[in-house]
Amino acid sequence: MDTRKQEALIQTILPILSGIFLSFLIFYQFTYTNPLAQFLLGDVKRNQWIAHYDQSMEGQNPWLRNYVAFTGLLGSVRPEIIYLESMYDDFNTPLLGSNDYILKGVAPESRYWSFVTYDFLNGRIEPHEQTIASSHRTILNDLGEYEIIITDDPTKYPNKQSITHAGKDFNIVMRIYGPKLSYYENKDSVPVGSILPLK
Amino acid sequence: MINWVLKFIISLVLSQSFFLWIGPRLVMAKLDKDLHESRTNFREECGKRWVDGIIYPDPICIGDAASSRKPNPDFIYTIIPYDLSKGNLQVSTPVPSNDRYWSIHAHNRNTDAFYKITNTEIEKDSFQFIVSKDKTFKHNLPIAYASSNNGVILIRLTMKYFNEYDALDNFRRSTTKQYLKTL
Repeated sequence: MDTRKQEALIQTILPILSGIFLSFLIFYQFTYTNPLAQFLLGDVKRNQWIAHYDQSMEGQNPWLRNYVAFTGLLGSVRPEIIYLESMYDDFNTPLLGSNDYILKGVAPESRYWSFVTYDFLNGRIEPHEQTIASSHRTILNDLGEYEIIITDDPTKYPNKQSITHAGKDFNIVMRIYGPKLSYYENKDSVPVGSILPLK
Repeated sequence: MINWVLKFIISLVLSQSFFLWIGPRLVMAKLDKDLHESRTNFREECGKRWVDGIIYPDPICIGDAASSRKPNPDFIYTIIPYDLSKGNLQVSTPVPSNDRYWSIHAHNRNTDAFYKITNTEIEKDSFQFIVSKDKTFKHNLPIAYASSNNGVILIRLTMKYFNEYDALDNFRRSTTKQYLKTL
């Protein structure tokens, strides 16, 4: 290669390719659930939970639009759905398939809510019917609280309400549909659950 | 050196803009492919998914090639892709009672939602509306104004119990779509 070509390569092609490469690396972080994307995109952070209030609003943050498209495809617009997601337990340890957990909290005031476990690649866990606890089927105590075991084998807890992670490392998504409108005014008022590992 | 850094930054910014623009469209293109497959590839366990341009994924198949990421297992999703270059779209759909969550969202090609309505806002047991890109278009039905020719309408219907699926699947299949002829 002659000197002129080398010079052109170093002075023009290299910075352009480096820019594209770094740009792709940045973009890629917003295409799957990971701590960086959650840290940068979460609307409100409550304990280990990241909340999104307006995932598919027109004119939204374009990185959030991509994150939603790649991880969930189609979101909603306010005031309709609040999504909360977590990759960690109360000790900020990733949610592991080798552990069982207890998820406790006060049920939100809404038309419908659910907790669903997904694997770290945002895939569905099977049997999917056992990955969900929802407002229609979850029994609350007198204080309006739920207590749900997350385990690889729900038969280990015959008298408890449980959902499965099927032994896979997982994240958990809480959906609140038709939420009380004051949750939008005071975002810290959305009740979030505690996730503690069980021995 | 300044020249080098300038080229680097310009390249970074331009390519980031491109990635952010193309990302949702790639995802929607994948959705198109999956929806097309639901029409051409009959699978016994998925039932009759494609009927007259409306896709009725069942909970077993929604998590795979049938197009939804991280679906909520309690939801029965109905997907209506549209192409407004064929005319304004009229959709008619049954509406369940308010004791179960149900909603319609209409999404542009870049996945943004431009229209939303839930059953608590509808008094009748069916709902008709129009999707149009023409902001001057008027009609006696509610109109959702899209900003792209292509997109999808997503209907969420909640199962309180999984054994309700057959009845609710039957219920949602009275949904229709038709393109209105332009005068």
